[in-house]
Amino acid sequence: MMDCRDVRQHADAYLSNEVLVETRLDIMRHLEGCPACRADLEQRQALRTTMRRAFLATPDLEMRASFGDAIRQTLREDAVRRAATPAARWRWAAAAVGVLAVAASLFLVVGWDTSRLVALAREAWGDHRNCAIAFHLQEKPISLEEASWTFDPAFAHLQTTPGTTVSTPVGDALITERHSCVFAGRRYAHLVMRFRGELVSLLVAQDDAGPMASAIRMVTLARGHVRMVHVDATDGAALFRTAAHMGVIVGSVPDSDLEALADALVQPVSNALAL
Amino acid sequence: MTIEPEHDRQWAVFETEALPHLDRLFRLAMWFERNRTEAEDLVQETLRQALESFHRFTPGTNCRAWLVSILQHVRSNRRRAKGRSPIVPDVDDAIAQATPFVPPIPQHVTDEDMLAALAELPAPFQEVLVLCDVEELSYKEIAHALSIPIGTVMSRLNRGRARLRTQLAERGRLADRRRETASGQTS
Repeated sequence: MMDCRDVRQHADAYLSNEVLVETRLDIMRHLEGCPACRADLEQRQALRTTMRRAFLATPDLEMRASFGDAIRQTLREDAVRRAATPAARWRWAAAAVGVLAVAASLFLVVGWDTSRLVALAREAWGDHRNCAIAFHLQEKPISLEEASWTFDPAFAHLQTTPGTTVSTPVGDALITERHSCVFAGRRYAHLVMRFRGELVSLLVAQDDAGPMASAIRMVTLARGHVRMVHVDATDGAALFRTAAHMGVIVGSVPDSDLEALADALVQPVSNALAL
Repeated sequence: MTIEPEHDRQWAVFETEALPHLDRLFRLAMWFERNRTEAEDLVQETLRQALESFHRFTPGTNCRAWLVSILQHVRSNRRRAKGRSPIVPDVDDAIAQATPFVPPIPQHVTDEDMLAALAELPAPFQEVLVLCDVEELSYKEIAHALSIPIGTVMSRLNRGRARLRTQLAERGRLADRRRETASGQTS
């Protein structure tokens, strides 16, 4: 049987409907015979009602009508742009299949190393989807500065480089976020950009391959050069290698756009990581 | 350019499910940012990201809670990018010592007093109180939106409510004193 102290302890959780059914029944039984607790509960509820009313009524927090109209228009235009993307993506996917077929013989020579690049691209897509788009990472992202103390000092340089706007021949990319996150056990410096109407991620990780793999990678992916790989028919990735890191750019834009962005990023990012 | 039927349908669903929360989302952003331009920018980025990942939203679940999660995520990332301290420092232990006495629940609280008292609380307490009492999110939804454990949500709510009552009681006392002074001057 609950006493007044128990009821008051659970009172707010009760009002928020956050107590177990048994506790709720116990509280209700107590309230039937306790006017003081009923009054206490009513006062707590009144405070909540006041807060809610005040918050939702104050003109200080009111949205401008013109902003509402503008954002609807902007979002609608975004939706139109996105609607145009899948068709383009399929065209590029078809082209990519052709490219992959031509590259098949080369794959026999350096196939195992290429498969490492594809695996890296697949992980980068996983991080992009779960961190930049769906916010489903198990481990909370941390700042690049914090990551530079604990995991990789070079990450600190990506706090300011590249700058907020990255110019490419097909349009500017605007960097909206910089942080460090973990996906599939690999720690990344993660720069999220808005590019060609889509969210695009640059993920930088330490190049963990041994000397032999690095030697073969010189063929597969020469330092400072950009290489496109495909995780599947639609998901492409642009990869580049610096002295000690791999950079992967992923996002739902055509391969040529990814490549253009990678070309614009490879030099400043390589220089920053080498500092 | 026209939208393909599938995207047209998706836009229509987004418009029906998400956009009705625009006004509430803006109030939340405005409360936290205290700056109209930043609030508008925050809401715009939130809705853009929501539209982009709308196929991941589960119909029938709380769309406002989903939008609030995205808003908090964007806000948190922006603060990190600006090099500000995290939104949620280890405030709980420090504040635990600071609320030893919980005054009685004040009566006749005005809207102005309530908002002023709320604004004086540390940000982590404001966040949970607004998300719980104004947005009516469940503890689980708040925990997800703020990326903190449910236990932390509960303890912040308890301490936040206690602090709010203390602030309101203090305001009540000041108002009483002002009234007494005014009536003394009149007589």
